[in-house]
Amino acid sequence: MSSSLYRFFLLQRSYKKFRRYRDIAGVLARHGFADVATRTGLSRLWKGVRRAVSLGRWQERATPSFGARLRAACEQLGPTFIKFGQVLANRPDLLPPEVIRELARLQDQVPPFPFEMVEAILAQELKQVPGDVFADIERQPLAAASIAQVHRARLISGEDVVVKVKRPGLEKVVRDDLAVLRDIAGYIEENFDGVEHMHPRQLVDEFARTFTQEMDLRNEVRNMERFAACLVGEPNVRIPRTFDDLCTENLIVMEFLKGTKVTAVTDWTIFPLSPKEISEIGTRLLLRSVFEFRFYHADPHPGNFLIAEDGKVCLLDFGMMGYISEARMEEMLSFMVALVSNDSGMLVDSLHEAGLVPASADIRSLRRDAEIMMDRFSTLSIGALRLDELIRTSVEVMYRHKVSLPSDLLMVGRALGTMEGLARQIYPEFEPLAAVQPYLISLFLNRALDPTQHSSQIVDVALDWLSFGRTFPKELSQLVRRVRDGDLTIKVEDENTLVAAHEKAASINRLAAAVLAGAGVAASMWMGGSDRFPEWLSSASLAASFLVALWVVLGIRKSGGM
Amino acid sequence: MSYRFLWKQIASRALSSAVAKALLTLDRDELWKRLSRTEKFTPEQMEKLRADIEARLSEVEESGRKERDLIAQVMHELVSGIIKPGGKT
Repeated sequence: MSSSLYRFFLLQRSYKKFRRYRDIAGVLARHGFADVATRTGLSRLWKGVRRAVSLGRWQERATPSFGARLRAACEQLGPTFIKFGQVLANRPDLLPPEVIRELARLQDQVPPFPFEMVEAILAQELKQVPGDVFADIERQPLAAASIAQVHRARLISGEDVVVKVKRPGLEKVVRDDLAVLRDIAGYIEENFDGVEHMHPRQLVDEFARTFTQEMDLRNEVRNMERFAACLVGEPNVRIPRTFDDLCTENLIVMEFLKGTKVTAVTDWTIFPLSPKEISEIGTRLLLRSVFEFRFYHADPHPGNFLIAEDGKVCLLDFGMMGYISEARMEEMLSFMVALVSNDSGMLVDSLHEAGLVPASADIRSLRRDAEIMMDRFSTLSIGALRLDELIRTSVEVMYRHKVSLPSDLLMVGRALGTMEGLARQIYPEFEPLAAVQPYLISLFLNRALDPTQHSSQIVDVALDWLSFGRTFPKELSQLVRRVRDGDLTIKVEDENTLVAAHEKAASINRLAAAVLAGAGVAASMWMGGSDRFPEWLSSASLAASFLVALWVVLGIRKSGGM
Repeated sequence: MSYRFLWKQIASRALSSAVAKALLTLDRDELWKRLSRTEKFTPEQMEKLRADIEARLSEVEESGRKERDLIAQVMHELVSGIIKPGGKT
């Protein structure tokens, strides 16, 4: 790309970014965040916005809570901000509980795009006329969200399917929004005090990575296939089958599962499973996903759970999945077992072992606070205890002691909280601790008493020692011999000393060259005044002296001494 | 294949099997009694947990038995070689 074309491209992007900044400033102002916009510098773009939004309207909008206004602003700003708000809802270590509660309610519902566009995308993605693949496609979407909208359809082969079509032009909007979010995060990180622990830039970068992945619908198909493979031992749970030949980056075609939203069931007698059993199945599935599959549904809200006609629990929407490493799962298991067993000592130890407690933390005070917290929960009856409250309170205690809990642990905490809420909705007597505790303790004991979990590490250490024992005597004897022969050299290098020595040597060289050049000039003048030397020798000497002097001057300039 | 990897595979299976064997020969009734007193499990849950763990231990003990015997044999040869260097009968 030529430089002028590149500059034009940059200019055009900057202009788009500027327009987006102005939009964001306008939305923030409309929702009573005038102070935020001013502090982040967005107010400089406001002149037009100020005219459009009167102060009276700002104040009127400013009446609801901070969290409610933030949620409304995110919803108005579109898909990137809705998703970012949902991510922030997983971070009780960053935001106060009332804001978390509001952000968790963020509705990912937007007006649908026209059916003609759906048809055009289908033709483009399938590379054939939709009529050749589908016998029928319903014009009215089943749902329209910020990333995609879904339509019910029937294949030529007669199978009932759901067609998920990505919103056109989404990438461009998201790319611009992410650039703006990165700018704002950078500005906050550089200009606000006390936000270091939040790592705003890192937060936005992590979000950008996961959101960009979520936009590629092929990832969702892969998630569904992987999760389906995990469900072999779960006869009461099913997920839709995908039609891989018809799935692309912008399109998913999957089996249509006929069922009722779990929270909309009014008559449970027609299903083979009771609400209690459904609650237990859902909770056990989430726990198994986290601790056994290490791959879990990060958004188990009621809309993603259906009860099929055969009574099976159907899971939908696999765009937001969490993955946990083996090591993190071990840490999480210890943390959760400590929580549900009311063991404050184990709780602090598990955080310590995971390397999450900073060196500056007051361990005694942390232990005391953890004990007080556990004591408070131990007095509650098993039915009155709420898992989300237990997790939230423990996160608050940790945060007070600057223990930065990993985001995946917080995400699991939120998923468990959502699942608990759903279970209580369909079965108000649901006792989360009674459902969670036996599973976690059994798994913990199973792993602790499984010799294969530790033997590989023990053998690794033993082999390291064996290898060390094999080479150590020889190396030690070489060392002793060199000491005895006075042949031992100890090299100590100080980076600053080395640099200073190098600079000193260069200065001495330059000084010598300057003296040489001066002597050369004097010699050429003497030779010019004498008849004993030819004239060219005097000129050559002068030229050589000049070149040496020039080298000295350039050397001094390069070293910054001039 | 690296020798270290091979040794690691054999030794860890042998070690797992040896530990499983040791755990299975413990006085398990006493151990489970203690556990059931400390954890809030129903008798059925406790029985299931015990059955799961013992089944896993038996499985590990059996799957690494060959390696355990092999290592035991090597150790025996090594030790007897050191104690009785040979030569004199």
